[in-house]
Amino acid sequence: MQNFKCIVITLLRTSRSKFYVLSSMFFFLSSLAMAQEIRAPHVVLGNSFFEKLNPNAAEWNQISEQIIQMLPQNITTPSIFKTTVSQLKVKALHNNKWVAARLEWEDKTRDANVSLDHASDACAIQFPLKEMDKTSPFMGGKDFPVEIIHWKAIWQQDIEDHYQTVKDLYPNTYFETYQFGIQAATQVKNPISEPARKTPVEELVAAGFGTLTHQSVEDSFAWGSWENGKWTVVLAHKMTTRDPNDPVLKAGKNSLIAFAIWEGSSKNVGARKNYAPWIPLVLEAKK
Amino acid sequence: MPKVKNWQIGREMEYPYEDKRPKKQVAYVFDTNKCIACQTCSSACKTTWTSGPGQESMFWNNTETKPYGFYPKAWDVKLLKNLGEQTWEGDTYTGKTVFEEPPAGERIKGHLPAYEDYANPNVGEDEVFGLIEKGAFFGSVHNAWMFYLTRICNHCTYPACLAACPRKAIYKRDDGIVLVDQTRCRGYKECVKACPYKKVFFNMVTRTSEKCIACYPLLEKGEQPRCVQTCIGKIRLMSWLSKPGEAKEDNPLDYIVLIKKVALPLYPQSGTEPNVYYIPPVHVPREFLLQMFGPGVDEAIQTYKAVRSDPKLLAAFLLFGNTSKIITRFAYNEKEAIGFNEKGEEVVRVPFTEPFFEREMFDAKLQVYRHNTA
Ligand code: SF4
Ligand code: SF4
Repeated sequence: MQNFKCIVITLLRTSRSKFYVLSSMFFFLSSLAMAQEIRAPHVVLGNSFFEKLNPNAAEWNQISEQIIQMLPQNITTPSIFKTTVSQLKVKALHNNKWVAARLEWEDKTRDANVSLDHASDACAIQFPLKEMDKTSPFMGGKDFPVEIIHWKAIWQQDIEDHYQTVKDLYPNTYFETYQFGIQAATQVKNPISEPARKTPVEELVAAGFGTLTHQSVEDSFAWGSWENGKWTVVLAHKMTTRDPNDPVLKAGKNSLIAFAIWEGSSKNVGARKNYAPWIPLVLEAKK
Repeated sequence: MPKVKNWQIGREMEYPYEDKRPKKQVAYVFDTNKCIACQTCSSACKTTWTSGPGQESMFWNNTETKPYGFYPKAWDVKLLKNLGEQTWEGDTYTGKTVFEEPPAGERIKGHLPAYEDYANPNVGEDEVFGLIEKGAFFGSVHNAWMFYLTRICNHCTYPACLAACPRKAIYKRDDGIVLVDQTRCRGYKECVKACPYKKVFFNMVTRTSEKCIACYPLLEKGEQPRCVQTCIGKIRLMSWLSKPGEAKEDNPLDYIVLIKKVALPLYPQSGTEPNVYYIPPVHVPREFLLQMFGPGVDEAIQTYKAVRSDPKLLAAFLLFGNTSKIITRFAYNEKEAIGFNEKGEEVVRVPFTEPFFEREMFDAKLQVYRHNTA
C-alpha cells in the first residue's frame, strides 16, 4: 500500500495540471491512508495530565501504538524528495475534555537552534475544521480550513533555558554598537520573535498553501523530550472550545488527523518537511 | 507560469506572478568610477538600521573590491555557476534566468550562504588582478586593475526573494520598494537562498529575514536614502525611474539609465530586473564588464568618456551628492545644473565649474599667515 501511495505522489508531482489532479485525487489519497487508524481511548485522567504534559508519563504505557510511514513533502515547492524522518510512532488518548497525541520518532541529533546554519526540530498535528471529506490534508483549502498545532524544539528551549543569543552559537562574536539596535519583528509582535515565551506550542489556521496564520494559544499544550536519539513529544488540545478556528472533537465521533515532522540538521523548515496525510482518529466513548 | 517583459534582457521570461509594474520605481545610479570604498555608506546604513543583536555581520549596504572581494563569500561566483552558460544575442539574453528551469523542488536557482560566509565583508579589499610589470610602477600606466562595487538591495522589478517566499511575506510597494513583512515572516530563509545578490539576511535573534528598506521613511518625505545622502564621493543618485517606453527627458534617472544608457544593471542575466544602475569602471577589461553589466558596456563607457561635450548628461551627473532631496526633474543653462523636487520646487543648483578663489597669504582679519607647510 505504501508503494502505491508513493506512485500517486509521483504522479501528482509530474502532472502539469497539478492542482486539478490534486483536488480530484486527495479523497483517493486520504482513503488510502484509511488503511490505518489511530484510536484514542478514554482514560480517566485529571486535566493536569494535559496541562502539565510529561512525554514519559506511565499512563502512556497501556496505550497501543500505531506506526505511520512519513512522506517527503513534494506536492508544492519548496520540497524535499527523501524523507528525513521515515517513521512516526503515535499514541493517543482523551479524557472527554482533552485529547492528546504522543509522537515518537528517531532523530540522532537534538536541534533546538536557528541561524543560517541551523534549523530546529519540530512536529505538528493537523485537524480539519469543517467537512472532513472535503478538506485537503495539504494545509486545507479555501472554505475548508485546517487547524495546526505546532511544537518547536527551539521554543521549548526558549522556556527551559533562555532565548537564543548569537553567542550561544558563535561565542567569539564581538560587537560594540548594540545600544542603537531595534528588533523590528519583536517590536511588531511576530510570535516567532517573542523573547519571553510561555509555551512551546503554536496554534495556527490555514486555508491553502501560503495562508498559515498564527492564533493566540489558549487551547493547547505540548512538551517534548529528547533521549538517546529519539524525540517524544506530546501535543494536547481541548476537545471543544468557543474558538471557531478550533476543531470540535467528540468522544464517539471520528475525526481526521495529519502529521508533520521537521528534522533540523537536515535543514527542514516550512514546506521542507515529512508528512502523513489524513488518518482517521477514533475518539472512543467512555466504556 | 506567467510571462513577464524584462527590458534589461530584451525578452519575455517566466515569473511566478503576473506582470504588474509599480506606479513608480525606486532606482539608483552608482558611478563606480568615483567610488573610493570609504565605507561611509556602509556605516551610515549600519548605524541607522542594523546595529542590533542578530545583525552583527549584516550589511544592507556593502562595498566590495572586484574581482576578489565578495560579501557574502563568493556570492556572484555561485550565482554565475547556478545560471549556467550565459549567452546574449545582441541585446537579448538567450541563457536562462534564476526563474527558468529551477532544480526539482525549488522555485528559484539559488544558494544559501553559511553564517561564516558573512564573516569577512572586507575580504579581497584593494587586491588587484594581474601583476604589475617590472618598471611599470614608475611609468604612467600599468595593466593591473581592480574597482569598487558598492551594493544594496536592487528593489528588483521581479524580485527573486518575493517569488521564493512560500508565505507571501515579501511584498513590493507602489513605489517599487521591496519589503519583508516582519509580522508574517517565519524565518524559512527561502528568500536568503533565492536573492541572486544576497541582499536578504537572516537575523538569528528575531529569527526572521531582514533587508534594505530603501530608507522609506526618508523617501516618503521627499529625501534620498541615508547611503545616498552620506556618500562623500558623490557617486550616488536616487530617484524614481519611469516604466520602459515612458522615459522622460527631464527626469535625471530616466535620462541617465533609459535614454543615454550610461548606467547599467548588475548581472541583468539574473532576470530580476535590478534597479541599481552602475556606470561601469572605464579601466577594467571588457570581458569582465560584459559578464557583470551585460552587452551595453562598450556604449556606456563611450558615452561616459564623452561627457565633457554633452552638457545635458554632465548636468545630470552634477546632481549627484549635492542635495538630500529627491530630484525628479532637472534643467541646465550655460553655467549650472538645476534640480527640482516632485512639487516642482528648486532644490539644488550646481555650477558646471566650481568658482576659483585666490586668497592672500596673510589674513588681516585673523592676523594669521596661511601656508601649506606645518
Ligand atoms: S536584490 Fe535581492 S533582496 Fe533586493 S529585491 Fe532583488 S531579489 Fe529581493
Ligand atoms: S537605502 Fe537605506 S536601508 Fe538601503 S542600503 Fe541605503 S541606507 Fe541602507
